[in-house]
Amino acid sequence: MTENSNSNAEALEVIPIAIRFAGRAATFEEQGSELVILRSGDVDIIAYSGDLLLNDFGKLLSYLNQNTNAYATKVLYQTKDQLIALLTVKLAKILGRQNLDAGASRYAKSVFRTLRRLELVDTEGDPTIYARRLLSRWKLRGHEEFYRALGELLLRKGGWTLVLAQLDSLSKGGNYRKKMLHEALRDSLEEKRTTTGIWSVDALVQCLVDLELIKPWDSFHKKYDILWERAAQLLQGSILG
Amino acid sequence: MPISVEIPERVIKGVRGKKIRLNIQVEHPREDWKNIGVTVDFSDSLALPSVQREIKRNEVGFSIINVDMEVPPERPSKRTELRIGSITVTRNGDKTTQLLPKLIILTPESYFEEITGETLRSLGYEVQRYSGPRNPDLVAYHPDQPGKLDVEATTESSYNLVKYRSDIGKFHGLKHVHNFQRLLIVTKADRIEPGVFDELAHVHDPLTLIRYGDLKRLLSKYKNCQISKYEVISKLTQSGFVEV
Repeated sequence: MTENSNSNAEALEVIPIAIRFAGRAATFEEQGSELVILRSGDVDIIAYSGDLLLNDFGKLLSYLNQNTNAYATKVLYQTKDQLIALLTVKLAKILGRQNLDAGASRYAKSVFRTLRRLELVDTEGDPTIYARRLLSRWKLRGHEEFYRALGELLLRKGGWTLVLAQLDSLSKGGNYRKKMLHEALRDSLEEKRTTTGIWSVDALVQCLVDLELIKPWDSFHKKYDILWERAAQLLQGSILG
Repeated sequence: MPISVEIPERVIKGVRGKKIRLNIQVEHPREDWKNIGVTVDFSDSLALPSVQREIKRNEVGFSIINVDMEVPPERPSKRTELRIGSITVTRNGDKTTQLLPKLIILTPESYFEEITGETLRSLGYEVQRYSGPRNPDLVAYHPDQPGKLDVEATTESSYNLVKYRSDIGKFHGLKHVHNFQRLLIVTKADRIEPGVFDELAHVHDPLTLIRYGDLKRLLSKYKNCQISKYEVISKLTQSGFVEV
């Protein structure tokens, strides 16, 4: 065997070390749950639209990044209105969806609002530093780092702590079927007026699964297990600076 | 015990340039405390500076410290197995020191054999790694499939006809000694030269050629329950070149 490159150095190996002190009462999970529920009280609106999945955010950011060429000239759009008009036409292709037809304009506006709330674009639709940080992770092989950074953004700026808190409250409150639980979640979020426009609760829950904030549906116990420790870690994260 | 430090008892296998992260989670004490200090001292062989962190109060009640390090090159003159170092925690005058896990620095070839073996183990195989040029790289056996596999893990930057013939020759030489049923070649490189595919088209030997990337994809599908263990066995015993 003859190879001498450093390309073996592919993965990051993590050694978990826990330090505890005598007299401690609450576990990481308990503390995570407290933190998420505490933060969810401040949420006015949830940044989410349509049926966006995690990879769709990466695709959108890649597209927006093409607006500036090597000479720092804007080549696709100059203003927010031009961006929305462009997304209306191009969104289906960017996201790899069926033709969005009549709903395309609403979807594009809704997507723009979501990106604004997450502070991924500025008022004119130009990608911000957060967008560039996410994009650099999106370009890496495997998207784990991207999901982690996006999870941090969604929890800290996108108000997704409220989704977790609601899901937790509903899971404890009744013996729902999966579809019923999703409907109850949608109703509770709409009742609080934290969501606007058209959005898919199924896709939102799928995002939570992909972010590893909840486990996939447990059909035996009829509930979603919330991974509080992961949520707390993301809320404490340092990727966004 | 006033301070407890839990460190997994395992030996870390690394290769030059591999990144290792110490993910230190500190649960804050419930009662009053002034300051907590965490110090990571690396062993002399690693020649890395110590890392010191002060824990501050926050609303969560715990803190996370990440300390990253990179595995240095292996040195033939010295032992390649070493202790990463130690971690010291101090709080209000109390002090506890614990040793960090051991690190074995492998050559790129040995490391690739190790990670290939690990991947096969995660796919349900029982794997034994051998050393020496006259032995198979790995011997794998699946409890649900009769017969043993000779696994050759190859790290060439491009898998070519010369290496292919050498692997086949080695298999023929070893198959009666070890009672092998099949040969599984795992290439680290994505590039496989066209001549190999030409040979594979006419091969009669029970052999499977797979890229490591495809083996990882197979594992990912298996772990996500997209495929069963029988489909894994079927893939890895499919003759010729296998893609996932």
